[in-house]
Amino acid sequence: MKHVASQHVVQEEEELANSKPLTEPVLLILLSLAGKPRHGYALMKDIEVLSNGRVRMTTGTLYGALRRLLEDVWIEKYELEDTSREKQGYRLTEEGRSRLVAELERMKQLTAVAKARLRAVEERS
Amino acid sequence: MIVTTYNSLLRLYPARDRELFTQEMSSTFERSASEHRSRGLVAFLFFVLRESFDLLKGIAVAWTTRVQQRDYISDRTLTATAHNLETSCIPAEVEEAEQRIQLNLARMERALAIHDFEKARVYSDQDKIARQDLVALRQKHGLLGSSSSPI
Repeated sequence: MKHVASQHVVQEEEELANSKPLTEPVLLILLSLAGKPRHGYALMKDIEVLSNGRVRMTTGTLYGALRRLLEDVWIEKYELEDTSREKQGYRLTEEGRSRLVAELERMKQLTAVAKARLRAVEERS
Repeated sequence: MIVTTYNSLLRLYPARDRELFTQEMSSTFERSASEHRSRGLVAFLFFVLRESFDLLKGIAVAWTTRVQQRDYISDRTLTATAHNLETSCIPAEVEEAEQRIQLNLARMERALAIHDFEKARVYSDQDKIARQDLVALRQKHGLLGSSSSPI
């Protein structure tokens, strides 16, 4: 039984590792929600901060991405407790959190490989 | 005036998207517009142009997705189901539950086709819940044992 359960976990991890890379808007939304639940406008502002002002999402792009993430059950709707204007917020699901972690691992691995290669080229020259 | 125009354009989204997001999008746009107005006329004009273009693009994508899903489902199984539904007067909530199952199946097949196994598993889980709901609804309406649907 334990062997079957651990096989299942390994299979899940492999599937996560082999999933397609996330697009930048999706990655930024998941990153922003990893901190805490937020409503739409707060997400837009936080994404601008996370990207050092480089990414400024329009309302259409943001809600298009939110719709897809809701369909994929990576995020869920969440009523925020005490905000001046908007109560309807979003938060990460377990599925969304796993997907974000897998993506960050993928990027970490790629960054390590890239650094090693660049170092090797510099040492040769 | 710009917010009123934006709200009018939001009505071009398909009904389901309108239900989910119209109010939020309007509120978010209004706050964003107010912020950009304070940055000066040029910044505000750029903002309006970007938002308008993106909104129209988003509407086109939403309709395309909806039409594709509807075509995909009706090509596969709903034609027979729709015919049976017309002749047997199945309640709307049972019909909706059957359509949800078809939609999940279609999404699962698409996910498998592109080897997105993680998504396929999510849709499979949703499918189980949707089927349980359908059985409960059929029980409620005394439809268990009915051969009206291919599901």
